Amino acid sequence: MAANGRVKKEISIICKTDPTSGVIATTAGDDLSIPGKPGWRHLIGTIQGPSGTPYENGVFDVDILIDGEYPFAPPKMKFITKIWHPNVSSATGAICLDILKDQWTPALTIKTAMMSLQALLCSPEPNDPQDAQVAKMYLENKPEFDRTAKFWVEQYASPKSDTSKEDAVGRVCEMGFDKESARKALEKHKWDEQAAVNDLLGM
Amino acid sequence: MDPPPPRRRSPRYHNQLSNNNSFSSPGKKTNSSSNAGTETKLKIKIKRYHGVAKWTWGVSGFNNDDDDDEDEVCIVCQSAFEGCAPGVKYPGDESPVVFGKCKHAFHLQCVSTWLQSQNSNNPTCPTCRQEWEFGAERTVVDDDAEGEESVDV
Ligand SMILES: [Zn+2]
Ligand SMILES: [Zn+2]
Repeated sequence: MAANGRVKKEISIICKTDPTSGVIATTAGDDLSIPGKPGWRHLIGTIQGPSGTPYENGVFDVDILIDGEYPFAPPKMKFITKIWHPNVSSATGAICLDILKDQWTPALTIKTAMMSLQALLCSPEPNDPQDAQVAKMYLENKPEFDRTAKFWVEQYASPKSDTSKEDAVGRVCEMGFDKESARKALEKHKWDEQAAVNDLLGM
Repeated sequence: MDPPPPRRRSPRYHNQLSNNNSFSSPGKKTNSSSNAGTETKLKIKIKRYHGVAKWTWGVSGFNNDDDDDEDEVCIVCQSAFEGCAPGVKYPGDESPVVFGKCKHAFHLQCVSTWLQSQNSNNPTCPTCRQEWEFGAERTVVDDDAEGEESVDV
């Protein structure tokens, strides 16, 4: 039996701005619930990159699925924003974090899980990697790891200024798309121009 | 005292629930609590009632944990111990509070679902992750839990 009251309570807490925690979520889509999946909820979490790490100033979106087993099973979380981190797949965003797997307990919440993700950005665990290639670089060439991680933040996790967004819309329009669909595709792909163009081309 | 075995909802609860569902027959003895909100949810009209007893689970002061407020809430379902575990209609005997040897308290239904969902021979406490063992119940009840009865409908 899903603790529905608990999920509602938790969602109202995690969707509220809390400047001290650096984590927040919004409900995905207009409707919180998922058709055909009673009790399931879909959220998009946002995590601020912790200062003093290569992820500083980055803003990372996390896909959060609360299934019918919650809170007896952990929320299913993965990074939407691409990130260079030993415990996150650089290809799929899959996360290797014990509390999202066998160390989950119902005493944890969506919010504490997101704060654990933020803590994971501060202290990677390269000996228990999700992405072997990233972990290898972290262990063998830390300066190169830091550079790469920072580069990925600039590339994928930096909130774009309004003018640079307008520039991006302009560039996509020049390829023969109308302004409206260009903007929509860019927003959908977090202002990744290549991905937006591929989407518009139906690729 | 024998520790209660881990279980989901035992048939006993189902029986009690279906008995209580025949709520409308006048003069029938039914559950009540001091919380009138419970009754309005059942969509019955209460003409008068006699408050006969107030009860709480003797949970606060037993947990070692610092925060008093949190002691009143089952961490699994995050509702009050005096309220119901999910899937249970009435507070009180149907939604008992149990303690582990580690002195952490939960609704019986809540901790049982967790213990079973772990699929392990050594399931752990939700709060401290120590191996779970039912401890002494030590539910200090003001007056008698059985005394919360007799509503004139
Ligand atoms: Zn509970
Ligand atoms: Zn415990």
